[in-house]
Amino acid sequence: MKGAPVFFIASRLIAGRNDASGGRDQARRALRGAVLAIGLSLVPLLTVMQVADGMVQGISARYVELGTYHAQAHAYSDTEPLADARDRLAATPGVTGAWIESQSVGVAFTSGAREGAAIRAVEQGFLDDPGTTAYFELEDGDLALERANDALVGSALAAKLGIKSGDSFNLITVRRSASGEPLPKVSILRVRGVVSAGYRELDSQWLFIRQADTARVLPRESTRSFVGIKSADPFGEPEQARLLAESALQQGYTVYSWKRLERNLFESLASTRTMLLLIMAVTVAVAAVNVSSALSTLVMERRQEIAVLKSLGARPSDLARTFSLGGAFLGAAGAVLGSAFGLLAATRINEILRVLEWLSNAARRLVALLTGSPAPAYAPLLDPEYYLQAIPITLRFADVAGVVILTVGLSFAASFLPARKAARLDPMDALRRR
Amino acid sequence: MSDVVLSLRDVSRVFSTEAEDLHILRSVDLDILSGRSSSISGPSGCGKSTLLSIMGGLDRPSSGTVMAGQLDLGKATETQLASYRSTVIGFVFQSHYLLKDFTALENAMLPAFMLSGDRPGSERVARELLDAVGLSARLDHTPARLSGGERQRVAIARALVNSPSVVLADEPTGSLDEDSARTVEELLFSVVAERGASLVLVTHDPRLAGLAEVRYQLRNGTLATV
Repeated sequence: MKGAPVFFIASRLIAGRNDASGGRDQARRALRGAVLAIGLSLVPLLTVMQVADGMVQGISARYVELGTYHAQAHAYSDTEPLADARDRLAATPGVTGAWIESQSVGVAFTSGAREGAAIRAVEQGFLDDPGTTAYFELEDGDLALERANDALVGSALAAKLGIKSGDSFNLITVRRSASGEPLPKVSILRVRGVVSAGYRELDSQWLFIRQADTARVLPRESTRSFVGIKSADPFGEPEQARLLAESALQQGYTVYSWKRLERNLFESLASTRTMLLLIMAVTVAVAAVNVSSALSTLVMERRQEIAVLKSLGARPSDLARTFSLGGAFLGAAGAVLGSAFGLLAATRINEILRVLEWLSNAARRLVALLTGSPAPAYAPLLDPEYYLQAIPITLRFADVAGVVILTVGLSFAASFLPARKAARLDPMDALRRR
Repeated sequence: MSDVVLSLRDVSRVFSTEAEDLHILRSVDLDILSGRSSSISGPSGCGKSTLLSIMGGLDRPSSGTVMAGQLDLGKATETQLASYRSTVIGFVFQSHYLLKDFTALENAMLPAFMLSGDRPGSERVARELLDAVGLSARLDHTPARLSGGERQRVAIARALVNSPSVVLADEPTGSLDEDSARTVEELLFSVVAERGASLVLVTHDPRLAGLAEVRYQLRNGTLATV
């Protein structure tokens, strides 16, 4: 049998007609159940996939645009003039920006508190870069380091220290004497702005000062300096900035791409995402078993029709193809249903979380009211202190297409047994049972 | 002998159960002639339907040969048998056995569509046949919306859509009231004859059996000319 009649018979057996005799149509109900099961199993899978992608993308973008740059060029020796390298890189076609940065650590303290800080001495160009401003939220003051001792403080660090723009605070860094003894140095800095990357991990550490203040504030022996480089498309072409920098600098420098610099973090995020998706995929596989069960019911219920198809000239392989295609149809219908609701849930995940949070708190208040307990404090479902404040969602339709193909494939595979049963059905036996 | 389309020689069919071997057919010899109508009558359970199934390639004989041209049905592969059922044979069952999710037109055109993959061409032939059996106004009706007689007329159209050499009818009017039965049997004989096909009719109704040109009686598994 050619493909067209196989498709026609499979689609009609699976979808049926409204005006066909009703009777006891267990199979049709089972088929609808199988489609629903697949659809339901896909909703969490697609939601987790898109949300995980959004979170990974959100965290990665913050690290790449605000932390690692797209690539870093480190000089082999301290004598290499970084300013020359920066200028050469900035003039390289394809490079969108290059700035010197120096990093060290210290302890920031005010009269009431003290906190460890990752000190970053940056150039104003970095702060003005569109990639930087896209992810930096200015909570207070200005995003500028114009005067000596100006500082930008991460929002979580500022909160711990109890400082805001215009306030002064102390920064202790430690140098070593010629004999190796620690020599603390206290610098007085003024808060020019309080910034947030929207990610607690970063906001609790970062303290930005002027690149020009490096020599005065940071201890030479525990400070590392490099040129940070940005290019056009760090995620689409993650090695582009490194390759451009290597060709521009040639020797005397080692250049690292952002993927290499934060390899552990990104590998960890990717592994977590993969593990979550595998667990969810098992649910889809279990749902696909319903396809097998529903098709088996259909084969049992339509034994005589299958026998008639054989009497009309259908080969066993034709019937196997018909029911396998039917399984694929069920998978496709479930995938369409699940994709629609999964994507809807994913794009509305922030609203869904807010509703769940409200419901959870309402339930707690109700229980407290009924039991006469004191009203509980409002508890966030996900503490924004430790997560991205809003989960960024970027729909990846290629991934969705992959899930749909996987689902259809699983359903096709799950239809193997009922398809074989239909192919092996003895027409004489089926017709005699009438 | 050039007009023999189906030839059975020394055909036996035995069904083995745990308790005994049931000899349903015993050394049956039968020639189906081109364009002729034949009837096989006999009491219920005498093996009429089994004989028809063997002739139609739905069952195989336990011994003996069934030849359709050069094809030995007893030794044919499943694919060869499927092709034989599709091109040489048209079935009309006692119960119409129409597919319930398909319209009258779709049911009638299905064998042709399965064979050729050409839906418009298959529909055209099916329309002509449904018109011939008086159902041109019922093309889009599913079996649930057709009367018993109408369903059986669709089944006749379906049996003829691939222009088979032989139409095998198993109690074609057995489940119909008298008026419908008369209409269907008249149509069956006339439409099959118009298309030059052979008709093999299995029935326990002596009146219907008497309408055939050649009549056989099956008793205790043995076939005899009446």
